[in-house]
Amino acid sequence: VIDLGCGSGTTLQRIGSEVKQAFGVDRSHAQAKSCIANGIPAVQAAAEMLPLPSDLADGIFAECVLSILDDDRLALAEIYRVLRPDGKLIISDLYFRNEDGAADIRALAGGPAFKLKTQAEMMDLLRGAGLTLEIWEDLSSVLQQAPGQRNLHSGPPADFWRKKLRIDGKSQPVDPFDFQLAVSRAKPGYYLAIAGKIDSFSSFF
Amino acid sequence: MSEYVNLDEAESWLCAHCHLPLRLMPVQIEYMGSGFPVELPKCPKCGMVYLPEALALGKMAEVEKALEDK
Repeated sequence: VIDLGCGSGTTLQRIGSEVKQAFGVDRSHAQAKSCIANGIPAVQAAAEMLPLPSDLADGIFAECVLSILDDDRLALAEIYRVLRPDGKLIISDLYFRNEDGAADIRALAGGPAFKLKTQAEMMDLLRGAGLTLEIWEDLSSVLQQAPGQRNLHSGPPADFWRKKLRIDGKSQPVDPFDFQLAVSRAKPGYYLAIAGKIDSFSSFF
Repeated sequence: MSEYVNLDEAESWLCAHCHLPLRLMPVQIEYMGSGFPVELPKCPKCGMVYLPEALALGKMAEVEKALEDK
């Protein structure tokens, strides 16, 4: 099992005893090194170019990774290549729950810096890479957990989304009221998904 | 940072307590845990903020409703 964007190895530590062999991939040298220092095997690499043989993994984790990559299509092509035929991709990430509102918020936040998707867009993206969605579970409630619990963020929700959507520091200031209205319409949330390979898919990569 | 009042209009208002012209200054509006950094006319002495009616009844009212609906 491979954890893409493994960070300091939290997921690998958690699943380590459950699987035969697990290791991490992180583009940060410091993160890969900290895994190794903790006895967790890891390599430094970009998800878009995995230095791994094909048909290697039974499972690949991509936790809050796909939405921050330079090229998610390329990364998914690599994931497809490295997964065994019956392997599974496990994704968790932020997303837009309301497709209608997603366009509004993208218009405000601006183009390429901003990559959160809707469920339908994720399904299309996966299908384009030869993967099909098997499970999709909305876990947005974890974003609203009480302070002190294991939490994805702290502080006011608007501040969280302003950071996530990279609103601050833009050359054109974004009206904070317009931004809040767009967030309310787009209803950003958090999901867990599991995808498997499409049997008859032939990749262009 | 957003401007809802132009500079001339802001400075044409006087603070009722301090009798000083208001100045366009950064103001942090907060509602239900969300913060909105804006630029509004403010008294440089006592800090009283002038909220334009169009903003209060327009975008701010919409935002209040959106946050309360959550």
